[in-house]
Amino acid sequence: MSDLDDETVKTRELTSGRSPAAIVLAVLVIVLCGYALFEASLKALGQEPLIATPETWWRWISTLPGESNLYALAAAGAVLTMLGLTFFIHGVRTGRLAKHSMQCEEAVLILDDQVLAAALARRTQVDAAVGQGQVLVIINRDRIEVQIRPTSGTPLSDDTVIAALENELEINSVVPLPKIKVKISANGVIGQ
Amino acid sequence: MNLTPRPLNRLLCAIFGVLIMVIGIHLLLISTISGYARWWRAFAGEVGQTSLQILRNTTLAGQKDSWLWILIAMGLIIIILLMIWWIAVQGRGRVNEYVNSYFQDDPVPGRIEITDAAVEQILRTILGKRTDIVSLSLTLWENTPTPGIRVKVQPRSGVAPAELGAQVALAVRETQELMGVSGPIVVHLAAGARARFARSERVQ
Repeated sequence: MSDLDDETVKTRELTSGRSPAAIVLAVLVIVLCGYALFEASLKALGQEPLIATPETWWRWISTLPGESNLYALAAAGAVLTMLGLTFFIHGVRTGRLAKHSMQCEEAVLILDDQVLAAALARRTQVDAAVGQGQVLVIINRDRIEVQIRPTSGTPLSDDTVIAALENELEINSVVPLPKIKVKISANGVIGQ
Repeated sequence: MNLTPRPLNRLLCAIFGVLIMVIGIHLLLISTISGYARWWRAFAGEVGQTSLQILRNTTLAGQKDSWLWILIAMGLIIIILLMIWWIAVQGRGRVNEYVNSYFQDDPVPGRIEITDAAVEQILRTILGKRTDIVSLSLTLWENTPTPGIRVKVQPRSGVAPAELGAQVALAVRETQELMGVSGPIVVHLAAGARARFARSERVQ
């Protein structure tokens, strides 16, 4: 495989490769095909079938529901539908990981959301002049939610915090720029 | 960073997902709507008759079964082999040799090989004893002419990421200059293993 450009590398870093789903599917198909092959060869060699001959299988399938329990059949159908839907969604959705990228001249710079959250929490603490444990930062894709419990008696405005966070995101040049939501709790924390 | 065939993964996931869904919905319909079940039995009976006819027509004189079974068996084997290949290409594309080239130098010609461990040691030396880095590891991915470098750095909580990231990236560039090569670089600032499975990140 040859060169990938930086954009491709970035996308690959920020999204999931769907390897686990692929491996699960491949194993499923191998087991099914292996069983069919085994049963067919037993028949070809004139041996007793392991579970049932291909003909018995086909008779069972073609006369469904036959004598099988309707509820069990419906349950199996529901489970298979959900399973199929899960795999389908895995194939179709972008599968973004909890990561962001930052602009950098030299390299593709990727950071886990938790690292970004920690940096933002630190900055908020400094700018809102609150102690550790009074700030909670939640990052979810392109939304950042900051919850602050101010110190009692010290008023705190959203704008200061938002300005500080925007500045911090700008310094770190996080792309794409997430939206910031600040929630200042009504109850304060006593004496810091 | 690796060279897992992602479009293939997605395509096959979607196709198999739809197939499994179709079977599931089919079972649901059979067990709930009797009219559908009746239609299915009639339809499957017809299909069974036709295929039986085909199998009979393709049975050679003196043979017990149709030669189509051999084709079916071969098809199954091919599918199994393809699936094994599909598993094998997951996570492919890692290499552990950074430089591997032959120099026709006059007194002593020879081949030079530099492994990923050597690159990592150089990087550690350049970055020195930094207190804001908890751990650092380096992997290489297949790329021409030079493998790409992916550095995973675990910073201490609350460190300004842009500055650290840029410094690490610069250090990697310096390392590359030392080796006399250039190539793509990925710097990944990672949280601890504890947070790897979390979807949204909460930090106090």
